[in-house]
Amino acid sequence: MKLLITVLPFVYRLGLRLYPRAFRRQFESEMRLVFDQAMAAAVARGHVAILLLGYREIVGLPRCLLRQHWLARGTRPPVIQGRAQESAMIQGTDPISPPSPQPEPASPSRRPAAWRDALLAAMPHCLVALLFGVLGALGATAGQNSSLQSIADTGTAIAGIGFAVLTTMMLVWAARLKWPRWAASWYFYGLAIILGLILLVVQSVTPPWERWTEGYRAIVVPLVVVFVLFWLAQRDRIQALLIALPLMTVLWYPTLEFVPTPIRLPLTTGTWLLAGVLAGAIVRAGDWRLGTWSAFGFDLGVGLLYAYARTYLKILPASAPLHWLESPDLMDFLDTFMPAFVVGALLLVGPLIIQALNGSTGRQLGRARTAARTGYWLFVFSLSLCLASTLTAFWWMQRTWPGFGATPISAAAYGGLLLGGAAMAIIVLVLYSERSGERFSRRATTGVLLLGLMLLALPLVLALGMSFGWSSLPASMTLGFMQPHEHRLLVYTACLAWVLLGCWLVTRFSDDGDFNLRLRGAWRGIGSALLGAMPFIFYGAYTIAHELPGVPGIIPLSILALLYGLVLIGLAAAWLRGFPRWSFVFLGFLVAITGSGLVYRLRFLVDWSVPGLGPVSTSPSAGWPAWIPLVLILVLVIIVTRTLRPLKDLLSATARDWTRASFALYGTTHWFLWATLDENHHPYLVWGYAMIALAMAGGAYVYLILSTTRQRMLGLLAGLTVAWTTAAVINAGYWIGRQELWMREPVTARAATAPMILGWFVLLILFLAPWLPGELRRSMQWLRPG
Amino acid sequence: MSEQIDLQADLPLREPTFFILLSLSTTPKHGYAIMKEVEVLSTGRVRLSTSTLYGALKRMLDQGWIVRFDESAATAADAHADGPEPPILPSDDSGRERKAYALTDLGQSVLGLEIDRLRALVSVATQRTAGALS
Repeated sequence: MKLLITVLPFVYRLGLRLYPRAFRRQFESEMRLVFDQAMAAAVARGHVAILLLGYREIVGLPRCLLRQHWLARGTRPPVIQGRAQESAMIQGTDPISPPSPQPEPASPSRRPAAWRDALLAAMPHCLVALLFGVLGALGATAGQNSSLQSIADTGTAIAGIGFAVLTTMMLVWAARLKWPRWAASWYFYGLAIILGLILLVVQSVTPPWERWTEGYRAIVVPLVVVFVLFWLAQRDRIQALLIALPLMTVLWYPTLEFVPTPIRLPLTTGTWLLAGVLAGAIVRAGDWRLGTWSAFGFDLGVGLLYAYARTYLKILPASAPLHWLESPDLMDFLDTFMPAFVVGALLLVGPLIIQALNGSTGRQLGRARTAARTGYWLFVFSLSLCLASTLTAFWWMQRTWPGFGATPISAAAYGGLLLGGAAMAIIVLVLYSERSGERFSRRATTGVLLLGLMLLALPLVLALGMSFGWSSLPASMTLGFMQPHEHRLLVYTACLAWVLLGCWLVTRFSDDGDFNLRLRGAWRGIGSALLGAMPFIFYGAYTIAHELPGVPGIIPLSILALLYGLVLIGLAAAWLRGFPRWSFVFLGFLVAITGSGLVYRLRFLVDWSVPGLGPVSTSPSAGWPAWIPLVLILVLVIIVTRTLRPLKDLLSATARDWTRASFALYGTTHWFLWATLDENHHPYLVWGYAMIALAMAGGAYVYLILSTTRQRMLGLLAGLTVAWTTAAVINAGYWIGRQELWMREPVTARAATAPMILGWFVLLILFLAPWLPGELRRSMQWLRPG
Repeated sequence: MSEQIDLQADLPLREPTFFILLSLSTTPKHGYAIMKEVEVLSTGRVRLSTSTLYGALKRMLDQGWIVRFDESAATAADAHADGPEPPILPSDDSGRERKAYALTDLGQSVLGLEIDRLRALVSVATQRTAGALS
């Protein structure tokens, strides 16, 4: 029992850590105090009382946690409200009236530092430059002289150990000073030491170049680095810039392979020296906007020099392939420059974008913070996997030629994660724009949308390479993931645009959460409109991936699984928000997915061996497990909300506006369209699917963005008609004159088109059925005299 | 009238909420005192965990039914005011910041409406079952 008395408070405090931050700030110390008092009373009463107290606290915790986390989303941190009420109480004002909004404490955008801090920030890079210069010159002079070479090697080892010791000491000192800004320059080296030591351990337990070592290098290291960058950017943007500088420098290093030492040595020494000077200047000036542009310029300048040296000044070994010996041109230069430049810029701009999204705006919007972060992690993880697949492909190439290119597993994982990241980013976009639409101006909403799009754009641009079947470059090409291709200039241009626009966007943010963008546009309602269109885009992606030759089967199935997840999340969100208009299309999708047999295709997720019971489908494999996630989601939202009122809202909203039922029906139409194209193998089928998805998404978008019932119905009908016509044209083009084995005669034009026209009429009637009676009644009232 | 209608939307209260409001109806109290009072008022039937208690307190703070204040601030404010003696709140030996909760006018109204509602229920039930049970 003594153990219980010791452990219970510990467990309780751990549990308290799980509450939302704002809740903890407001109540944590008080809850601990109350618990301690209750514990003391229970100890006085005996063992049973202690057990009962522990039981009560632990059993009650999960539900309260869930509820508080849910309530914490999308609301202003309660601590502000609580403080406002407290001050109102103390000042004698009315505590019940809503407290006036209190802006988040603004962090000054410009905090100049002392020269000493600037020198401390510059010191590590300058020391590295010195070591590189001296030891590199010694090594170059030594040449074949073995005694000089051994002196150089010993000097390198001693200098390395000495630098590691110095780094450790500086970090300890920084910790005692509560991590001042200059310390970020040393973080990189501290991180390098830790990661290097772990690598030594990994290598010692596995043979060199085996999978674990490569996995560690290609996945763990990039993720750790990105985590540190992200974390620092949240704390202080200047610290993130300081750690990005050496990282960008290191990214350029592989480019110098085959560059002769007399050129390489001054380049590397100069680069580290420049990094040191820049770090000192950034700390001294204390202006993160200026720092961002400086770091960007540094990366650009260094990259251009390194890429030039690699392209035009290299000396290739005799064993080099013949095509390497061809005279280089501008495209060779760009092929060397762009991949590393984009990766470096991503490291620089990505965390700043997230900081901007999650900063003062994110704190106020609350709701999308976690989603933004998760979306970013997924992006970063997908990029890391891309790099990993490049490395894996390189080692495969060495062993089993022609296994050059991303392996199927890594490509599938990469694709899945990328799409997951994209989906998450879309959700973030919608949430942000919706939330910001309520509280901020159009300019603010535009800024949020642009930032979100920036987050989404680069990984998708990089994914183009995969989409077009380009394989990966070997690892020696500086983290290259774009195979030289005739259209690569387009990709490079898009990447450059991303970098420039990203830098501009993140530096346009002020620190008080205001967006200083001067763009105009009617963005109101765009969030929910995009949300309503999203399932069609996902479904279009699934059908396209399903039809594209050479795409691993896991990709379309992953997209379908994502769509199912999206629909379920949408359903939960709809329940919590009283079934707003956009959610009706999700209901349609839900019916189509769970009931149509599409879930049969998701059987790879679990071993669904239970046959039958598909509620709508005739497929024997669409079993009841398909409904489990739906039931779980419903149970969860009912537990959280503890009400069935949303169902009432759903019915009353439908009764008020019957076009909502039409919109739900619209959500099932994609399945009919897909069914009409069964067995169709037209060469343009993929383009047809794209067109259908866009048309359907456009119809949903128009329905949600417009305000009058007639306009909405016209939008839906337009979307349906374009999609249906596309399907009809593709069917006609493929089937007319064709005779399959099971056909008695070739398909006539009439046989190919008549069912499609009939189908369109049936759907038209179904669509209009909920809306037409009400419309007729209104028309009659309008015609009635008086 | 409209305020009354709005308050009606919050009824009926959940049992813990009702007992917490009831416990604060006489004097401001600290968290632990509320827990104990609720247990007493409900004759041991409702025993709040700290999670439930503070979840409910937070909700009521957000709704403006109660206010939260420092013990020292309340004491100082009361010292300058002409009126009854300030309530004596339990002291904290640990020296940690103490907070107390008090009912606002709005909270008082909500509690009053809930009591009226319960009274009406009991009245109807009493009338209907008077003959049957006697």
